[in-house]
Amino acid sequence: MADQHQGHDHGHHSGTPQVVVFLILLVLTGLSYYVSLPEMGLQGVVGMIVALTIATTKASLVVWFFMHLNEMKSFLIRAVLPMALLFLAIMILIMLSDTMARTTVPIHGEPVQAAVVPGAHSASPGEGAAHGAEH
Amino acid sequence: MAGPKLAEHFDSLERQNFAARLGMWVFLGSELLIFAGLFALYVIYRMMYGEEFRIAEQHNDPLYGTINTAILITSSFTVAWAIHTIRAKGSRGVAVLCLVITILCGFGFGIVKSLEYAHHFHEGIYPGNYYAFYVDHNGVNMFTAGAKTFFTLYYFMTGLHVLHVIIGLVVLVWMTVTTMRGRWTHEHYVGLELGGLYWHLVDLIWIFLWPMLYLTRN
Repeated sequence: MADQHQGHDHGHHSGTPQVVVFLILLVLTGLSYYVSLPEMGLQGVVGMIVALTIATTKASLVVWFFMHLNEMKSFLIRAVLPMALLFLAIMILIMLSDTMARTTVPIHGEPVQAAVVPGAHSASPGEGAAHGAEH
Repeated sequence: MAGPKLAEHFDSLERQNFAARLGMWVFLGSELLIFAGLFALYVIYRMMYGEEFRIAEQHNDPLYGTINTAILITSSFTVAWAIHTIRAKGSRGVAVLCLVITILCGFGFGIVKSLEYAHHFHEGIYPGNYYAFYVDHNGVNMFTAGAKTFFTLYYFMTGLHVLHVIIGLVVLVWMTVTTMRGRWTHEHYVGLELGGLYWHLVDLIWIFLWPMLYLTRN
């Protein structure tokens, strides 16, 4: 940690990459919209993978060039975002390992009242009080 | 103009700047984790109610989302360019102009978002139990648990994001004022850089919200 050199070259700082990245970002945005049109036939999971791949590419460009992570030579600074993403992945995987393994899943297409709040139709004040007393 | 202040617990300005940058990046990482719970919920519910999510998403007008994506990417570039101008010893006026454009983009984003919200409210699309969208969308019933969940997440995610846009606008105003006063030089611009990082985060989150809420509808 002693020599955390940031590596800023103050003298010759070119703005060309910023402009190029900006144009690429606009093209990728247009592309993402275009391939999402129903006529393009990218359905379901394929469409999601394509959309999220383009989004990840755009985000990486923003982080690397606009946010100047390319100039941050410090491992500590560079490790922060990957760690946050790792925690996000862990959270999603653990939640999925629960919900995917459940034997009872909500019934698709059921009216809102029946599917989302199970027990809402049976929850009377008396029952709630009984539950409260149990715990 | 007075130069940058070195706090007494730092050896050098370089160390101080490093601490400031590291602190900001850790903050941005924790900001990401605020949204992580919502991203996780989206994934789980999308797996539970895939078809209903898809149909509900079709009801979101991609025009609003796409315009807002273009606006935020432009604003991300202008704020980056403002900082680049300061670093490259460019004209202070150009930097201020870029920051003002960024602020205008932020307001533009808010206006488009308000129009979209108004459109949704008009149709009875409210978050949570206030959801009252009884009308069929292309002959498909929209009053389903999945559609209700989708729009609740939509409001929560975009709402939290708009809150960040508003905070970002306050930061941008501060950046504009300090730049006008000549506080930043090509060597000392850390404050400006950190403010810019926050605005880029606003852009980053939207880059993912856009496909999740508008594009994956087929």
